Amino acid sequence: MNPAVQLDAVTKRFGQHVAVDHVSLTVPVGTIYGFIGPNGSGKTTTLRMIMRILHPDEGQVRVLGEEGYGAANDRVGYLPEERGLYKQMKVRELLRFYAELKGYRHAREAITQWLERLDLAAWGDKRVETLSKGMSQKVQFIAAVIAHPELVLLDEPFSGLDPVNAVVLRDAVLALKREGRTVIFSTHDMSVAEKMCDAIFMIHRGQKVLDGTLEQIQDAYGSDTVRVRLGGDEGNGHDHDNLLNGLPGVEQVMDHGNLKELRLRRGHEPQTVLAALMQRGPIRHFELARPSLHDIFLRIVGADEGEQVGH
Amino acid sequence: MRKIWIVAKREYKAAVLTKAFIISVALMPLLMGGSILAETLLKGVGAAKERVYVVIDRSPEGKYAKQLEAAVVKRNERDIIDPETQKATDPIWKLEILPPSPPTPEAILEQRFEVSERIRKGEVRGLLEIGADVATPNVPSDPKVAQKAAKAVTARGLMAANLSALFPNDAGVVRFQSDNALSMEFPNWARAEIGRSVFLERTTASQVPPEKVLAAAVPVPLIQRELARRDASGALVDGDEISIFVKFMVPFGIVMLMFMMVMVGAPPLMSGVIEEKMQRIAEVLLGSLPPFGLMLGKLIGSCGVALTLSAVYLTGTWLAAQHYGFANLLTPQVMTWFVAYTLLAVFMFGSVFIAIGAACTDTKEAQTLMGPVMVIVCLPLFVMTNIIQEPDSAFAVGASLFPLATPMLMTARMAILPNLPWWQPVAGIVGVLLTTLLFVYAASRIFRVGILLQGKGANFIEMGRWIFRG
Repeated sequence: MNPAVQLDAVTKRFGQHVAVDHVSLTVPVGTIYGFIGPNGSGKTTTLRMIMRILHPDEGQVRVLGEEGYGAANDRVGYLPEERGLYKQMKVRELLRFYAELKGYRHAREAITQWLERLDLAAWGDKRVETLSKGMSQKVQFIAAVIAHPELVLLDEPFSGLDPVNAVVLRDAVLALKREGRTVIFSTHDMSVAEKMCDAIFMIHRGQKVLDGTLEQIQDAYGSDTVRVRLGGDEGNGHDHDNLLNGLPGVEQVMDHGNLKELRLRRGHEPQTVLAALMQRGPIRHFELARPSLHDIFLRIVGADEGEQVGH
Repeated sequence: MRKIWIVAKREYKAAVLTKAFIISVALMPLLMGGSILAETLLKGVGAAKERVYVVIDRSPEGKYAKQLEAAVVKRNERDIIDPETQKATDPIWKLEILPPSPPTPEAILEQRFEVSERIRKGEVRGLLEIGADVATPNVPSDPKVAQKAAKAVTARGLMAANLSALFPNDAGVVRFQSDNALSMEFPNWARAEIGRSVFLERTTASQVPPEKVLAAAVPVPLIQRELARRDASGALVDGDEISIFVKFMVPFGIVMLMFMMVMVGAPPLMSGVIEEKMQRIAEVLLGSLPPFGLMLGKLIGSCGVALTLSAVYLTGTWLAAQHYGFANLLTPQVMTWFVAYTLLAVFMFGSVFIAIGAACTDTKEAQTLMGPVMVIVCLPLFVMTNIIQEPDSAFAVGASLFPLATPMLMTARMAILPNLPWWQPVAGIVGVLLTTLLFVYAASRIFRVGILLQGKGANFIEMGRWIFRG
């Protein structure tokens, strides 16, 4: 089976600036793929190339097996971040317009179903400008999926949503997956990416820095993280800092309040850290863990920025 | 093509189903119908009101005042009565003849002041004062001044100012004072009546029969007519008489109407594109159809808007033309060319406005770039009067073949010159078509790059770079 999306050494430049630099990526059909990366890293440019709005300067983009411009466009749905709706149009009218643009002519029933499903039935005949941010986001989502696309691209679909609406939308995305559709979404929320995505792609400064399942990514970074909760009533933040200072083999200490996260130097044994900690005071919790996606993200971006500063 | 049509349909509905559009559509027929209706309804309204004028006749025996009084009675009984309804169509005049004050400057001024106060209170409308020597020819001795004076005397209304410098002596003139200098009907009428009496007196005094003088002074009439033609049966038909006012107003109206169509159709495209760009709607649309298709859909939608407006306004104009009797000037050819040129103008200027919208990130930026374009759109308006007055001059031909001005100027010339050489509108439309294609191509290049650009707008140089380099 052809992958839903295949990028082969794709490069896109804007003048002197290289927005995407020789990126290759394969998104299998029926998966949820998360795009992460700091602002300005090249996520949107990559999404736009998949959408065929932008053409790569080098490399090839194949979407749903089609290479030519617009060949697969009617089979791709897109939700841009936050906006993307005509404010003066009524909700139903707008959704019908987007459906027709994708070649889906008899959308009336599907619109009604989606509006009911996302609790927007009462708002169908209202103008978009009267909707709240959360409602607009849900209408945008419907606009992206109303024409039954095989591939759905969602740019920050959960941003600005309250927890209830976030759950509603998350369930809708998961339902798309169950129906066999492929979903690519960009997000800054690492926990959402960890929980929802089958695979994660990270782009930084136009280059691919991560690509794979969460397990593959975490495996690549090894079990170099120790989570520690220190005991003792006498302990306060300052004392704990003193306890953790200068521990052998510890590269970095991240303070999450009661929980401290220690990153070990490559090849260093956690037992030596545990032994050193036990000599310094009581320990209530000691856990050997793999780095979270959030941690990996910060390591990549932070290391690169450090490098930039160093240079 | 179907997607272009869907975009066009949305654009059309978005423009047409707005209050502003409905108001602008309703306005023209309302104005047209309203003016006809108002003319009918207002006929005679207020006519029954009486207007009182004070007349002071300082001539010997005060005979002119008496003649005026008799003429006013005749006017009130005969001239202002509609024969069908037997109702007065104009106000009834009434004269209050006052005996003249002693001829000293102080007494004269005192009397004028007293009447002026009554005018201020609204008791009477005006004061007509006939000079003591009004029958004596009042010709300045200097021939140059005399010529100037003669011209000034025959002038009317606004042109008749500064006469007091040429005729410093009140005894030889008819004066009128009121608090409404623009109310000229009574003084002009009175002047003509007094002038007639004075003319008779003077001709009698010089023993020349007045009818001979009148016959000698009758100017040669000039009647302007359309060209003679053959009618449908082949019989020769003389041309209809031309009203200069109508002949001017028809092409003027055509140019203004087309200008309005362009302004209704084109600039909203720019604000629409800015909205789509700022709201990131363009990304969604471009995910379904290419930039050129999106732009084309927008242009077609705008042309639909212009067509709708044209239909309403042309119908209104034609009905008004029927009512006022100049429908023969709005020939089917002129109407057809008007529609064709309007559509091309909307396409041509619309593509420019779309390009500007795509190159800008907000309306403020767009307004800055819009200035030079608006000057180009308005270009035909600047030369319109010259073109209408000399529609077959070399300048008129050249200007109407300049593609950006062709739609308005060529249609205007066609309305004035029914026998315009055939090659001119054809050459004009070829030029406009080529320019439109060029503009649409260039605009699509700008649109393609600009529509996805966020954060910073472009200037004309950058837009030029996008056209040539993409």
